[in-house]
Amino acid sequence: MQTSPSQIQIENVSRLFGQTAALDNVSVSLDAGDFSVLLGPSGCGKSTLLRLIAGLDRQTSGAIRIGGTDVGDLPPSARDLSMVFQSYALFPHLSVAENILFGLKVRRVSKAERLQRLNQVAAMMGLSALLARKPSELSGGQQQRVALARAVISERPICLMDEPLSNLDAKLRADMRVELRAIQQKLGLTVVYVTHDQIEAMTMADRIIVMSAGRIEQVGTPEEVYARPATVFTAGFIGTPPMNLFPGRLFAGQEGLKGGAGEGHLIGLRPEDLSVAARGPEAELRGVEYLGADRLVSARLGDTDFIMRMPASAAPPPARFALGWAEGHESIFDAATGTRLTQFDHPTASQPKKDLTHETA
Amino acid sequence: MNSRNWIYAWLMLLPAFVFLIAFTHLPAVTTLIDSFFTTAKGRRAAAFTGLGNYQKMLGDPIFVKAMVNSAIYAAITIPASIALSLAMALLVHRSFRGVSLMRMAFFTPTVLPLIAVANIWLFFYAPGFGLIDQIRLYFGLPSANYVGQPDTALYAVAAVTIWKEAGFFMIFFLAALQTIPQSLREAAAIEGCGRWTFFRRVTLPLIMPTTLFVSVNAVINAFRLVDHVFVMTKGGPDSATMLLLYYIFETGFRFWDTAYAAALTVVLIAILSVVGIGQFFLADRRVHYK
Repeated sequence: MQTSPSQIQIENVSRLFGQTAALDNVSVSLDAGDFSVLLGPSGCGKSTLLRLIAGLDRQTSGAIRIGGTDVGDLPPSARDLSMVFQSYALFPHLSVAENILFGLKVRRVSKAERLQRLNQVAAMMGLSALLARKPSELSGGQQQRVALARAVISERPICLMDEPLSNLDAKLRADMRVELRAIQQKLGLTVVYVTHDQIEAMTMADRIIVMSAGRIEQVGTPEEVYARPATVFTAGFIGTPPMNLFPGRLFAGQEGLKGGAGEGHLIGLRPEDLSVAARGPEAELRGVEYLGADRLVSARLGDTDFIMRMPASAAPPPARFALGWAEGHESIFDAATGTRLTQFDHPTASQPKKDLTHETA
Repeated sequence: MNSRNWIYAWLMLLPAFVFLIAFTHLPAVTTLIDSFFTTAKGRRAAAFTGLGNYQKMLGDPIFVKAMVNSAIYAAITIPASIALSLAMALLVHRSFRGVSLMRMAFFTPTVLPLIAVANIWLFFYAPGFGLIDQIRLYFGLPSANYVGQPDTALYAVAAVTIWKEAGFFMIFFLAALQTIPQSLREAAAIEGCGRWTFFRRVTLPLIMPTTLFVSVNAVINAFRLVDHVFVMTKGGPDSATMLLLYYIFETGFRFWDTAYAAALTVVLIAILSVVGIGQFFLADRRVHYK
């Protein structure tokens, strides 16, 4: 297969800190021009993986290739990438312009070209009026833009971002999500973006790499990761509230389940895929949360608590009701291993031919 | 009620107040006053001479020598101790086996009294069997008496000061270096910034407040630290290591010309004030405070 110069391949990479593995034999390929998001809870190894790609840390074993070249022995500066840090890493004693130009100056780019690129990037980022200020005289959002401008002005094809929005307030974060994605598309950047915020992942990513405990749980588009979680972990991590997981025996013998599903399985159903039905297993109402557009109904089936989302226009369910679900939307997992059993998947038009969900486990 | 609080407050302050007045402020004022009078001798009382003592300085070859020596001594010890302490701080600002042992070794001279340090260095310098001479003899060089020669004595004394001070200043630089976030280094590494460029363009400006603090201290110490002169040279040979403060001591407590010593003290204080204030004004523009 032809490799694009900015394709990143991670091959059997492990990173041990003493005896504990921060990354445990991870393999994944990040396509050129993609917005790839490494998503997972704290300590899952996503930042470690990013630092390995950047060259700020060295893997214990395995290989990292950028554009087909093994970069294991290359220093960060030779890997042709830029990086935006969580803390922004702006030089506090330099002005905005000097911060943005730091890399170009170090690399001895001519003064005329520096100025031309600075004006262009500053205009794009809306920083033109702030170039003479020091970082301490900027708001959090403006500092963030400077950090981004510093990455963009390098004109390197790959940009690594380590939770760049986590220090911003909610409103600004929402604006920056849109802006980041627009810049990535406009410049055709290959972005590797680390976050623990699934909304950032869902809204910006071409592909999400879900990680947990040093391993990759699933690689897929936001739709795939949401609709067809590859593992119980992904099912429980993605979505607010997350996917409900019922022991299979509660649904044994119910119509609508693909033959054989039941004992020894976990049945995953999204809150919005559940409904009050005429027939079905009997659930017990425990509480209702009104959210404006929706209601979140807490209920219990057997000894399993679950949450059901229903439109606020519908009446809340009675104290005891028959639980129904959108057929074809259930996810069946092996109760012992926690992995998705694809033989129970309903074929849908949107489902890709090749199953990408099991590249690594 | 209120006045009782005031009485309490003054009573609390009284001990410190008494000592400050008695040992700092009063002597300072009397020194200034004494410097305008002649020294009382026998039955002859002190007489007002105006600037007589200051005029005397201009014609005093030892005073001129002491001023020149102090200038040379300051010009050597201040930059050398700052540069050395910064180099040592950079050396131990990372983790490797034995780094705390190394930090301790660098800091040890600070803990030792200067008198003890001077005695140690006398052994280093001792002609014939001292450490330096043993090394010289090993390489076939002739024996040298660094402290005993007028042309080397001042530098030999200055070396002791640098050795003594660098470890102390290192602590401040080390603390400053540790406040520079690691991510700045990483951001610079991705841009392809070499170690020297990073040091010059990022580290040095960011530790500027500490450098200013250290340099003010170094200036004060350059005039204040003369303990080792007592032990090693007593200002000799031929006034080669006569420093201003040592000359004040000699004038005041060996020759008992207290009025002249008072005038010399005023000169010393004036020099320190001018240099200290000047440093702040000069450096302030180049210092980045957070």
